[in-house]
Amino acid sequence: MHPIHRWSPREDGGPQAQGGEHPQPPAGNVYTPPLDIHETPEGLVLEADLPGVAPEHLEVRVEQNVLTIYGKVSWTQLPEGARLIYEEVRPGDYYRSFILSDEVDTDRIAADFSNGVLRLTLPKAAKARPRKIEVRTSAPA
Amino acid sequence: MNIWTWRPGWDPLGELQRQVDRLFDFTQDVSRQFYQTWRQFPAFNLYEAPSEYMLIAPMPGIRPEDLDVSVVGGTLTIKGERRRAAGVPEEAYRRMERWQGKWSRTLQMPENADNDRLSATLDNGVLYLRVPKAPEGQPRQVQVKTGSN
Repeated sequence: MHPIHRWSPREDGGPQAQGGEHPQPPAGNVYTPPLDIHETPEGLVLEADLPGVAPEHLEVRVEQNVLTIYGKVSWTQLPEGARLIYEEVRPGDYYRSFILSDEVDTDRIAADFSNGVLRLTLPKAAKARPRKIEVRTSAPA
Repeated sequence: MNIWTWRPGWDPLGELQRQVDRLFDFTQDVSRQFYQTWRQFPAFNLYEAPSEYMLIAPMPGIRPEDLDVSVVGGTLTIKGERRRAAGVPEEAYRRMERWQGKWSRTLQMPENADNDRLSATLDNGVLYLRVPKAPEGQPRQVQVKTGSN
């Protein structure tokens, strides 16, 4: 499973958990990775295309209810000094961030990354799942 | 089906790309996603190194068994199919931005490409295809003899 950085503010302004600094959008060529989102009984599944990003250069952050995905691209097998003779795509990093609804149980977000595709499972908090409420009736006065 | 042929100085798609770049702001612009659907999947770049050619094509989610690479005569074809996860009904999707479907790209290899020694690697969702140059393609010095007198 891919590590997820969780950051939460501390009252004493002390060191932030994992992650380090607040993420800024990277400089240079940046793409918004396309993604699919579908619902399951447990919550949402998000799949994003981030080809050319190695697992160690992928960062998934959850900060309160903001989810941020940042992938640093490197085409590792391109030989040094190779001359570009035809170009359809320019390598660029991937960045996307969005607000998760309160329904999402951010503590239980899980991430998987393989073949350049990031798969995030966003479970719904138990209270957000529909549940039947018993209606008690009292006898009319 | 488009066949791209290597010809020095010929860059039709690059010119179109530059024109479209001027219409859109490409950094962090969501409208670029809609432009991307115009393009073929996968996009690829071609490089030349001293002893080989290399094709690089990002193709996220493609595994070796989903990919078909073949060379017939001097024509290289890469093709496959990209499918969404099985077992998920279409109605369950809230957002579908990733392209899916059957795809195929064709390319005319240069004369001095030794296609029999083609090798391909998939790494983090990117295809790296290498074709060494045939030895005869390397420049060799020719001795120019002078005639007597």
